[in-house]
Amino acid sequence: MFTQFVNLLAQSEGYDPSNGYFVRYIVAIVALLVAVVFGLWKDLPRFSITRTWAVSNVSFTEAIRKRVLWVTPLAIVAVIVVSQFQKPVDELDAIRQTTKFCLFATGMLVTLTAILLACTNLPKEIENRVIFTIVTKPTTRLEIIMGKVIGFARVSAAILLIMGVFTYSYLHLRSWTMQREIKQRLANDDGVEPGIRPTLEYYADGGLLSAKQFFTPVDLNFYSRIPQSDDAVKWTSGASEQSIAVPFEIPSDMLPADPEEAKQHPPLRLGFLIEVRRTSESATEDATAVPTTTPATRPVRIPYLPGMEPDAPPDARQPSIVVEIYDRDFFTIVTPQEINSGRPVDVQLGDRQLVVLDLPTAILPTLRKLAAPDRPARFHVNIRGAVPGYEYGVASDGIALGFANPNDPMGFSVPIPPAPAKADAQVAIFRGRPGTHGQQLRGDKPDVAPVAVYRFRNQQIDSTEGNVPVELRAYLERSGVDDADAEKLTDLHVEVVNRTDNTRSVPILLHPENGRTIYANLPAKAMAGGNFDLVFTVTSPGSWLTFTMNNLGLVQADRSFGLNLLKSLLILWLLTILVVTIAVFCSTFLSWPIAVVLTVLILLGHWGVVQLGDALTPGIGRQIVNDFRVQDAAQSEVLSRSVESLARALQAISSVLPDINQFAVTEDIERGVWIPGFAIYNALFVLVMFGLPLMLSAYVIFRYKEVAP
Amino acid sequence: MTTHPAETVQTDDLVRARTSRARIGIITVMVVSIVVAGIMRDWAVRQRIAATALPGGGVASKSAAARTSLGSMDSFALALLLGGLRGPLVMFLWSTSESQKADKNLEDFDTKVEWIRLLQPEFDTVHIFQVWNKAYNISVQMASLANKYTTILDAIEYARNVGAGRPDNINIIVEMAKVYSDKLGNSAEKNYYKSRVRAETMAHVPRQRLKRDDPAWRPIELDAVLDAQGNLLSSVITPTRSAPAGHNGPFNDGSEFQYLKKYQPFPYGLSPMAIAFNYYKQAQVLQREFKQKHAQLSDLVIDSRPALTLKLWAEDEAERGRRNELIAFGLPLPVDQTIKPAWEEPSITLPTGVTGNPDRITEALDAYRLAAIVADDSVAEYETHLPLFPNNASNTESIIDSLVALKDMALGDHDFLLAQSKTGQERADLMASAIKHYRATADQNYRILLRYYMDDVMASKILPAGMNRTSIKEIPADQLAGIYAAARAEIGKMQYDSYAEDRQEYEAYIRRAEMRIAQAK
Repeated sequence: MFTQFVNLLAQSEGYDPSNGYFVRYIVAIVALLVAVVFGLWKDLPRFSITRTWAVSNVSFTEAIRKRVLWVTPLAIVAVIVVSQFQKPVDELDAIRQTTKFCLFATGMLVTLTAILLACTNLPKEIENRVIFTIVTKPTTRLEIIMGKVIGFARVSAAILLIMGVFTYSYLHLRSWTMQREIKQRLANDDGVEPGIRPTLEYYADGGLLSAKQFFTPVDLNFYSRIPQSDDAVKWTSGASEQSIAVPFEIPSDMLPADPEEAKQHPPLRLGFLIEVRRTSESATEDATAVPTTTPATRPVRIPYLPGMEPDAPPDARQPSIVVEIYDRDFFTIVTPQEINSGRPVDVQLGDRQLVVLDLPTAILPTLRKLAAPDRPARFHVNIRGAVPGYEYGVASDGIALGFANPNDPMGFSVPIPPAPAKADAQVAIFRGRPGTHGQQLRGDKPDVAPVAVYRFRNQQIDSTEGNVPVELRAYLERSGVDDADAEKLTDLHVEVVNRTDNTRSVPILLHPENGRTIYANLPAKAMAGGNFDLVFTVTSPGSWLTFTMNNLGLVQADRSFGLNLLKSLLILWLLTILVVTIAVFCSTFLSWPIAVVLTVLILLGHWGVVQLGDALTPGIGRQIVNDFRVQDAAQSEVLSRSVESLARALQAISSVLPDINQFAVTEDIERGVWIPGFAIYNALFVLVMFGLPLMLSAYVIFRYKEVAP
Repeated sequence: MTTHPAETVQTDDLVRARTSRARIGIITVMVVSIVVAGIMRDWAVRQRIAATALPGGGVASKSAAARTSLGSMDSFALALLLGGLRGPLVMFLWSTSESQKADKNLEDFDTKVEWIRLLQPEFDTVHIFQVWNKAYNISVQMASLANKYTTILDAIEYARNVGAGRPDNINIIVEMAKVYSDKLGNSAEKNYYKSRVRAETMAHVPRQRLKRDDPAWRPIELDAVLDAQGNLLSSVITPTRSAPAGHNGPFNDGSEFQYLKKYQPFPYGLSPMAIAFNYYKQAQVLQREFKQKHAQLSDLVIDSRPALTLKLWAEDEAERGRRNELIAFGLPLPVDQTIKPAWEEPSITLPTGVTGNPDRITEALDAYRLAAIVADDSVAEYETHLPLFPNNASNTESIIDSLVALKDMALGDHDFLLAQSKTGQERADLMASAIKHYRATADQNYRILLRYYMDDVMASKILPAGMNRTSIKEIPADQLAGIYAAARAEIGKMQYDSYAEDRQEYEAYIRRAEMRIAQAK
């Protein structure tokens, strides 16, 4: 029973209702019941807000008398000093780093203060018998515990208030100074490289302190050409550069568990309608060119048949496609070598043709491993044009999968419908070249360059006038173009294609740089109706630009930075209340130094276990045995089981410890992103689900603790 | 038992007074500790300067110590503030900055590297790594040439900042030299870098108007070090210290560009190789005269670098001469500019009836002049290096031979080009001089080919009786062409020619010299 409970806890992750959400409810309810049984039923009716506030006043006044607030000027000085040692990339980076310093200092200061005050308070009051003066009055232990938590929360709020005012003022001062200097630089053209001028203009106009909300794209696709709205077939480039992936889901009970069982199972049959056409002449990339940026490409291994070597002229090679199976994260689980006996599937140039391919049954157990007890095996069938010089086109609904019908060479016994990740997403995902930071788009001559398309649908946009800012943080890979005397920037064009009226905006030219955010203002009118695509084209041959769903930000609104700061401080305050609660709980039964240690352990326990990551996955015991080269069977068994049990125990404990990642506030505000409302909700949830049971436990312990004669 | 209120007050006062005295004592001890730590540190720095045998004269030591103290004030203050947290913080900064680099996430990367510099000021290997890291690993992550260049300048800035706290440190000086020579002067993007270094070292209005303490300040260009006439500014060549007492050999006089003084003026800016040579020479002097050791490189490497960099500088100037000569007469630049012989062919015969662009011709003449001087000095440098490291003699001798050929080629090109714009006796004299130098370079290249690109078996077949490859120098000049023609005939009979590619370069030089001699006559 106990082992089952431990395993149950170990399986619970985060706050996803499907992942052991209820475990925390159980813990909270148990704590409540224990508290009720052990005195809450008696003390709750006597609970007085006035008395609680009076107790909190004592804690607050005492902390102020201890000159706790004097540490804030020290922290302020430290932030100002450390800010002088920063070496930012540009003005915005300077503001971001300063924001990080301010919030880090605030968080550290308020947390440490809360721990020290709350951990030392009760033990010292008991030691110097100050507690006599409280417990001998008609105050319940519940009021004392709650009063102390509220008192220290008020101290934290005071510190946060001071640090918040400083942060707001200091950041505004720096931002104002820098913005003024940027304007001067732009006006005088002082040291402004052509590539960064649009960025500086964006800073000058939009300011450096922001709290932006972004529109969310439906999906990101890569095509060989911009598709028209009425295009049933969409096209990808060959040469294994782009591919088409379709997601499917199969329940585990439909898949064989082992290779022997698989031999008796009907194979998966893949059928797709494909068209092939010749590519217009593109700027050929010099295969011998030396990369001038560090490569960011994951190697792609494609089999070639004899006589189909990659260096053969395109005309001499018949178009063919390669089929792969990816998992849900697009990692290869079945390579092309395992499909169609390792041979690419030949296709014909010209009209739409049906290709039917039975996948080997040996892959079925591999697919089954992708399934969990409560969720089906999710995978992608990926089709990649293998031969350069051709474009390969499929309709979004032109790919079908099912278990083969043994009586019909073209039919399915059980069809498997595609399973798009989102309801409004395309069934077929048109993918770019895989890179380490995302999918890559090839640069080519303007009329033949492939495109990356972000789809936005049903967005509420005020399209009457003005611009919509867009931010892109891209990674660039270039080769063979830098042995020139003069600068050759990579040209990236962005345009809006309105899918309501099929109009296209005038493309805006940008010059991306690795790891830097570039900015542009797109015409809001082009987005009228809220259904539009953002189309990116790289027109510099030899350049590859990386795109992801997350590296584009189409600004929906720029909210108040002050309000955003307030939200982040509120989340920090919720964290300090949790800290105070833990500290008070620990101090009810431990001496203050041990209470400090235990508080820190409880606070960081969950985070620490998360950091261990893969080290706690099942199989770690066997790995340790192998690493230590334990030969003896009995010893290795004991060691393996012990390590596995320890890993499970750690996971079990961490699952009920508070997840302080929910209180992370710096990242969004530092990046100028509006903190979403659910961030406060998540923080509050952790506080309630963990802080409340702990406070009740502290009450129960304190109620039966003899602190006065 | 009850306590009298007056007694209680008295006791409280006593306790308070005792606490107050204890606090004052603690504060006094802390202040004294800080002062003593500062004094001890200053003493340690002076001891280190003395131990590394830097110039010990009055002016020198004070200057060095003062620069050391001031340059590392940030470091000292930071270390003092952090106390025992310095170690963990450094570990955190190292691991996060390196993982950020791998992820190409360079936001706040420079800040972390700067903090590492401030927290580990005394570790030369840290600075060696970080300068290299910035100049190579980080710059290559940039896509635009301008950003690559400014990242390299940032590496130089880093080295300068370290150098401010650790003057006359061989490790830092060598890193500066390496960035100029290997990265700015010899990487795939060198044409862009070299043109910017030349332009920015000349007198110009600074583009960077931000103050150094401005948060957005970054090095976007080099500081001008030349005046309008191309002479080095006095601020970079004025000695800041005298020779140490009792020291008679060369010494670094504290000026930035001490070793470039003799080559001025530089009307077309400084080559990165020239700057690299200056720093390598400083490092060589620190090693030869003051016995400093580089943390990672051998004595041989450090000692040979000035000579090698002079050679590269001479070649760079010669290439500049060719480039300007070709542009001046409207001739095409080589398609592949990395192949040396490709530069020789297009301008062998200058177009008749074309006077050429005078500005370009003037620059080409300046480049050839400088190439000859620098090549000559490189030979001199190698000749001082050779006795100290005789193990590497054959390699050094081959380099010296090629430098002699380069010098004569540059002088021949200079006189030939100058003669194009002259008439009468002046032209005849210049042509005669050009012929003399072209003849010398052709002969020298024949000797190089016969000595270094022919095996002993072949040598025994074609060289006059009693001669071998090491005695090639003794063969009369008028026999060299004939002997080499015989060698080529023999080579033609061979199934495999392992030196074919190497010979192309020297044959191109010979062809140019012979053709020019024919034209000059």
